[in-house]
Amino acid sequence: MNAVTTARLTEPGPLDLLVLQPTPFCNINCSYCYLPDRRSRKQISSEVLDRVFDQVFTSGLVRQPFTVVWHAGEPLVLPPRFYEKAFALLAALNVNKVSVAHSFQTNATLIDDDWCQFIRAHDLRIGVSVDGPAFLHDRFRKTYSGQGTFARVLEGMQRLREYKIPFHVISVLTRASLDYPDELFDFYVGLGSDRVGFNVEEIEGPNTTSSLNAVDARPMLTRFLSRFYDLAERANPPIHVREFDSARAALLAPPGVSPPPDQQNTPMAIVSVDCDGNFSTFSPELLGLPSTHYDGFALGNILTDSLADAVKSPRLMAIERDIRAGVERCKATCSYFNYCGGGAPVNKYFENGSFDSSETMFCRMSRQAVVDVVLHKLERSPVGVQ
Amino acid sequence: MENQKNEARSQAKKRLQALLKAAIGGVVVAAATLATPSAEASIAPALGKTSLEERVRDMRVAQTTAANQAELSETLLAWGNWGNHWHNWHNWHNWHNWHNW
Repeated sequence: MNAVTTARLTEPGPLDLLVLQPTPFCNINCSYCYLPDRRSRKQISSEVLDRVFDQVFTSGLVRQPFTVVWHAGEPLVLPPRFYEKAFALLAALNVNKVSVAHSFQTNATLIDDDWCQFIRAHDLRIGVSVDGPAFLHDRFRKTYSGQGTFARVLEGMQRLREYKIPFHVISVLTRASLDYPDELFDFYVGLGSDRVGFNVEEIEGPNTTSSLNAVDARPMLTRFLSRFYDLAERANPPIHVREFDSARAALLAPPGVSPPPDQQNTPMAIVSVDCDGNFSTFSPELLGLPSTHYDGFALGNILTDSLADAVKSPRLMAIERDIRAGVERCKATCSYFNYCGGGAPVNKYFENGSFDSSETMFCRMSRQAVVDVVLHKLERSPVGVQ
Repeated sequence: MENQKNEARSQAKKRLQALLKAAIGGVVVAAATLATPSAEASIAPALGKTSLEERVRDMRVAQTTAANQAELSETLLAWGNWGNHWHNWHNWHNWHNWHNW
């Protein structure tokens, strides 16, 4: 670890996203997954949960409503009664009655009537991970025995629809997806899902390569996004694509308005806690991934260390300093900075070997290509408010 | 002497142009069509800070003359609120406005 400055570079928090890992276990085995421990059936204890919620509410980081995302493993492998207790625990410690939303990002294979009733009863926010029609989805999102999971996912989403539970979709774009914008569009329309987010296949942790890490991938992605933009814009009802909405907002922001600081670059805007109680901040994927440079990314364990102390810890200060230097590097060198805000630390670290770096494949694919497409569209027609 | 050479070149150029128009014009047009980039292919990455900033500035000027400016500033920017958030979660902040099943 490098020498550490004691000056605070960025005000920690406020907490925006609390990412809790109820279990690292996932019942499926996607080939591009970044979770190293997804066969482990460990489960977060009520002692850890109690400490997390207690510390969160007494840390000074809660200054606005925030979201709890149950993630980093398939959250629905634990039964509704587990979450019933967890929500009650949080509510009991939330003495100031801060608005807290609970969210699940799920592969949808385990959604049944019990889950739907629970989701409705608690007004939970649901995101489904599905990569498109079966011929795309089943290439990467498989069971441990190598079978495709599409049919089960579809069944789960159908159940959500029967219960009139809204959900958004996040699809991972691989090279295989890029020739099929029309098929993906038709798929989302058929689902009745009008909110879509595209994640590009990333290089991070155990996923050391990406099918998009090739010189021809960016023009392929550009063609895909351009076609999808046209389809989405003409759709009735419209389909909101997270990437397009964001790029439009950034490009149309009044002159002189700086990009908002990236949640992943702000200390303690995200707090991630694994099922053993280890906690970290910045990109949630960092927790659990190795680093010889910082001796790991965990800032402590919630059973023995406090969030308040972690904010002042040399490890956090070192990571924060390097992340900040990377953002400054982006600002100085990248023409897209005003429409981005400085990139994602986890991608910089695992692609470039350092937080103190700038452009990544992730930047080129998930930000630059999107800005290129949306700017091109806006130059040619007045904005269509979807 | 030099003038004569220039005149000859000019005449030759005119004949070539006429020939292209009359005889092989179709081929030229076809080739030009093939060479014209598609809408998607013409979406080039921004080459420099100035270039991108200028394009964005010009686009904003054009957009602000559009009649839907009020909608643009409120609805559209609100939809963009998820920006700069962790991408493995959706972060649409206006989730509660959405009940359109």
